[in-house]
Amino acid sequence: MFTYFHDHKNKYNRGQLAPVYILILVIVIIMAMVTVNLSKVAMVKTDTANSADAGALATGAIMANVFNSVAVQNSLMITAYWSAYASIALMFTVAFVKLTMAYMSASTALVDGTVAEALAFCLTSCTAQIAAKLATKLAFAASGILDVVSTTITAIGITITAASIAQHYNYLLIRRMAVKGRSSSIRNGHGFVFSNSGIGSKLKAGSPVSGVADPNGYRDSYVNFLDSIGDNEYYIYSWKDGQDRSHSVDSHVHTNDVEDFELTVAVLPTLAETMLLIASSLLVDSASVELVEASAVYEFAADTLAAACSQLACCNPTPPGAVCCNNCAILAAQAQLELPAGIAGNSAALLSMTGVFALLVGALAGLLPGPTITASGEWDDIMFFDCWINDIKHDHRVRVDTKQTHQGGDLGLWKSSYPDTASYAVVDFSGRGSIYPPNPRYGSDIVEVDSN
Amino acid sequence: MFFRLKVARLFGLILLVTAITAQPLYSAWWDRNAIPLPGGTEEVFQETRNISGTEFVLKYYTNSQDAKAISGFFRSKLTALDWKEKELLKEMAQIPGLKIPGSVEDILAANSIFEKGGETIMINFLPQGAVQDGKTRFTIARGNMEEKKEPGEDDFIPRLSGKPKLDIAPVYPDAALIALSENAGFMRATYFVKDDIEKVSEFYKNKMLNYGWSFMEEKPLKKLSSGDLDLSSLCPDCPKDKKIQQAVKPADMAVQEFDFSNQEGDLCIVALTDAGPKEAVGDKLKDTTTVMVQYEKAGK
Repeated sequence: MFTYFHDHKNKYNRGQLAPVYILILVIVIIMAMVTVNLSKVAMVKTDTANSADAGALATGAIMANVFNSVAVQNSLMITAYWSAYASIALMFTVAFVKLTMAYMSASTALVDGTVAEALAFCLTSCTAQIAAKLATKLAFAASGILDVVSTTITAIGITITAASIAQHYNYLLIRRMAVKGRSSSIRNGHGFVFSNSGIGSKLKAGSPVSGVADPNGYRDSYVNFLDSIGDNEYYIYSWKDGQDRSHSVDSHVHTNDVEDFELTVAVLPTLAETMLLIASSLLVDSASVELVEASAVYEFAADTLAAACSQLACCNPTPPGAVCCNNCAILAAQAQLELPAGIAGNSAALLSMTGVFALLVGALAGLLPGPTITASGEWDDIMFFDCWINDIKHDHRVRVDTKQTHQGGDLGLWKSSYPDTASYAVVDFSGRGSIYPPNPRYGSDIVEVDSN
Repeated sequence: MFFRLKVARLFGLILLVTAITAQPLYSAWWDRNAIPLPGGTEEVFQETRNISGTEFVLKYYTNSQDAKAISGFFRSKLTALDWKEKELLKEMAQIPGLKIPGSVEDILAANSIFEKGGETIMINFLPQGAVQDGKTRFTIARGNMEEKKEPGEDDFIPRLSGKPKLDIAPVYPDAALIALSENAGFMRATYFVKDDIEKVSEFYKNKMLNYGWSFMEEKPLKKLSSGDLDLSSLCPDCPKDKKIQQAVKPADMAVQEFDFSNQEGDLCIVALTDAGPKEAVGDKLKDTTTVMVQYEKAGK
């Protein structure tokens, strides 16, 4: 065409610029089409970035709420531990007070029993009888006090078991709330990704005609899709437009799971506490029986010494009195033989009581906050007496990746094509919060976005 | 007429004098009977509990002062009100062969016991720093341990006074309430029942339906055992006496859970635990169960 114009340029001395105009027009049209294409790509890119930011912020905000709720519930769990500890410590104090009383009573009984044995001679039988009687009363009284100790130990056992179970269910309550909250945050995150991706504006209103396949995008189908979103990390929505072009939006919402709970538990596992209480209860019962037996022996010896004492009243060198002296000596000697059994039982009871003290002290120390365990399941903590939740293993981050794919149109001369656009955003929801000590000040901020 | 007027005036005068003098007298008695509290003390809650046959009123407080300052306050104020301090730690220190570990010594040293006319006040502190919010938590328990003369059959049950505000689940016959926690839309009550776990589970499976609950799930019975734990690992300071060693026996526990829901979507968990140290107390805990009923309102 240009050669023709060149060869016949004399004929066409007017309008020589027309080819140039045509060329410029073509270039302008191409540039306009490229510009339209580019702006569309830019719009899609903006939608992608917006949806990533919105999804990440929504997920992060909900996760922050979840952690704030955990912190609030944790303070209730701490109060529950404290009240359980306080009432159990009170019972321990009652047990210690009563046990100390029983111990003092039993040790005085032992002193009196030993004095009675030392004075179990005819001449001192009256004094020995008084000592033996005192030992009888004191040993019996100690045994009675030990019954209260035994009752208190049983009450401690019941309370520890009940409190341990209650604390387990406090943990379960918080754990289930956190797991549910994380699912909800992911679900909402996806919802925000899709809602901000610009899909809505690209869809037709209503639903496809019943019984007809749905090749094209309808808003109702999209809403149904949104309703079906669960807590999976990855979802994709794809549709075809009126020109049969394929479109899709991917959403990938990731935040670590909330499976690993760090729990501060009491020094001793619940069943170890139970073992110590069983042992102390058995020893209390044994000491009580030993004291009742010792008391019976002391009483028997006191009666023997009383008889000796009455014989002492008539004891004199003259013949009828000599019999009294003889009887007095025999009875005192008999009491001297009887008393060691009481003293031995009394000593054994004191030894048992020392053991009870040690076991109860160990059990009380075992209730204090001790090690931290990691519970990855609902029943991992059941052996322990949970005090509170120390933390949930989590990096406090949410990352949302989105991608949009739009197939270009075939215009015959011109075939448009759009590159896949992707974007991501990272939100940190640490804020200033902490689960322990409970401080519900978790808050979400975007800390990283793609720079493309 | 004149006489009647005089009597009426005299009667009025007596009434006036009584009213003027009785009020301060009552206040003085009340002041001397009340437990003074250090400034800044907040009452968290209170409960009344039976401990070995004595009814104790437990009041739970927080204060931002440290335990030593609070303890010092009570020592000076209660002593001035004629309460006599019982030196439990000193008495325990006299027991030959008893080693008290530092942690327990700290607890007992911080805790105080005061006695007056048969009444006992016990002040217990949660160890300092156990809860890292800068507050000191303490409990004041008050009861008359001398009032109880004859031991009762059920003295071993740490029974709480009162009952849950919400009537959301059946209560097993003769069950004793031993723990209660109630918040908005949440309730947890723990009962002690003198029946075996099978009977109690049947009761709840049947009776919960009458309260509008539908059975959701039964978690399988979990049986826990301590195994043969060594005494030296449980209680390093315990005497190595053969009698004590022999007294330590393995312990078992079984837990069973039933979940119920209602039409409003509320959740109710019933957890049953056989009460534990059976061997220790002969028949006392034979065939007994603790029942925990937990109610969660939907959306809470």
